[in-house]
Amino acid sequence: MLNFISPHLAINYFLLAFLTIVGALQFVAARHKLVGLALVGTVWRPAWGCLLAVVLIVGAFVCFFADTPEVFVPGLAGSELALLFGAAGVCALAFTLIVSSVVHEVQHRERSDPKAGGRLCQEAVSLQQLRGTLYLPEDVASLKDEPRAAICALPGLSEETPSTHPLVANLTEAGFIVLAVDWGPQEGIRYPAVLGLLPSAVAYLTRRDDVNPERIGVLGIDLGGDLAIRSAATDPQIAAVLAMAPFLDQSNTKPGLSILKEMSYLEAIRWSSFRRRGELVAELAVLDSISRLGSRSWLLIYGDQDGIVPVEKARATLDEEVAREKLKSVPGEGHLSLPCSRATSSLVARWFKTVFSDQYSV
Amino acid sequence: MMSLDFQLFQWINNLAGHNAFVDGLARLLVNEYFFTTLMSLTLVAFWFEGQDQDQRERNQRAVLRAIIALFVANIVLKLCNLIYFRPRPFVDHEVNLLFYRPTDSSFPSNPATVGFSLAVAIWLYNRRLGALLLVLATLFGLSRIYCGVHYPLDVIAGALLGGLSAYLVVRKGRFFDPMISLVIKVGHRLCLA
Repeated sequence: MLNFISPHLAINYFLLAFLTIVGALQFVAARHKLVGLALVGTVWRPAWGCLLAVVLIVGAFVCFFADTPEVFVPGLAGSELALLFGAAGVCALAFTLIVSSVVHEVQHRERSDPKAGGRLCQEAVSLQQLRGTLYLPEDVASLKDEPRAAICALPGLSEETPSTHPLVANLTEAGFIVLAVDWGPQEGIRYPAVLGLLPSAVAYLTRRDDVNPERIGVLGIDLGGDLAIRSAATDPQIAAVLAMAPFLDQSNTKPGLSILKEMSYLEAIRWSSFRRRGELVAELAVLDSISRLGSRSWLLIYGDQDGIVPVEKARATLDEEVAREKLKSVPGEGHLSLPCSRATSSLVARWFKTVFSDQYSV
Repeated sequence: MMSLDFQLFQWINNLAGHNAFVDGLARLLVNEYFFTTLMSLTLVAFWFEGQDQDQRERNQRAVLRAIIALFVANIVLKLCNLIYFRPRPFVDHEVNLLFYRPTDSSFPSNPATVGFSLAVAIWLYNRRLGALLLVLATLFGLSRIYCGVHYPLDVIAGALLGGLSAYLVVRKGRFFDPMISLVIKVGHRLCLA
């Protein structure tokens, strides 16, 4: 039978365990940059997280010993201690995950720029299976005389994945026509139907007068990267492919705890709930498709802080020589922040420019 | 053997009562709350520790095996207590008692069993953290002698019992693997492992 001796002792021990476990979680969050566990906003300032951890742990012990005279008389036995510590652990974990999700959400709202997208010249595209937005460069009037290179951009497949807007803006500024393709509703995304998405976008672009059909590239992010590689392997009209943080392998679609480096816990659960992601990656067989790209230009980009597909893991999946030549990592960026970073945007625009200017001028 | 045990006990316990600060510190460390909570916290942190998934899974296996080792050691300890009862030092001798008077058997030491089962299990996976936990477990055991509630032999027996349980669970307890793998798999699905 459990005997908690006195409610005061039991409550105080529960509070001690609760606060110290929250402190331990903050220490871990700061050490491994786990935003999904961090209570002090962004853990990119690890010192704050460590400070909070020390304050919570030391403070909880001091308060416990100062306020609990029962410590020095016969007290809780091992089973009661284990039960209270376990219960406090569950509560502390739930508290940390919920509060950090709220903090993350608030910070995310503060960071998002509602005016983004206002300056670009764009038109909606809606043709049978294809839905998307076409972005044209500022010198749109001269396009008829001089057809341009075009890029099909396919974003990541989840609400947590940020938009391709910064990339699109940079590419149009560099003179490219960009077609940002929509995946459509998640429940409708199935193999092999999904294979028709990029070829129909490429076909749409080749029919346009302002696009040079020999200079069409694809840019895919996250699962879009896997699909871009697979589509390029079978569609000879795609002249260049750039995949940003593709999964490459089915095992990378189950990142476990590492996903908390990228997003809050509630977002992580929502992200993980799309179970078909793993099946799609397996069916797309990206590694086989890479070998079928032949002499066409292609590049993989990862953030070196990617918590979903670690760059080392992606590198290990590829041949050593291929990885050295075709895989670039962007310092300081994660899976979700990669498409939003200026370094990535300029790298992408520069790469497409180089690829197409090797053959033609953009 | 018992005489040597008592001599050693006297040597350590006679250090008590001379320095108020050291006595106060010993009273703080000797109770059931400080070291056990600190060691449990280390396990919590160790669960989330690791640079990549493989390293983290290894650490999580260490944590789960440490918990199993603790459970196994406690069962053996209860059986020992049923078979053999050794009175506490303060029952038969005049001692410097800095703690309350526990009524259960002195042999083997329960705190030493708990401390060493956790510490040795972690040590078998991670030498640095394991060494830190071994220091904590040793301090825990020594503080029990210093405060007059255990003989050295009780602490040594508890350490051996805890250490042996940990060794057997970690090195020979392959039949725990399916259960451990299941827990880690569920944790992985919940984005917590």
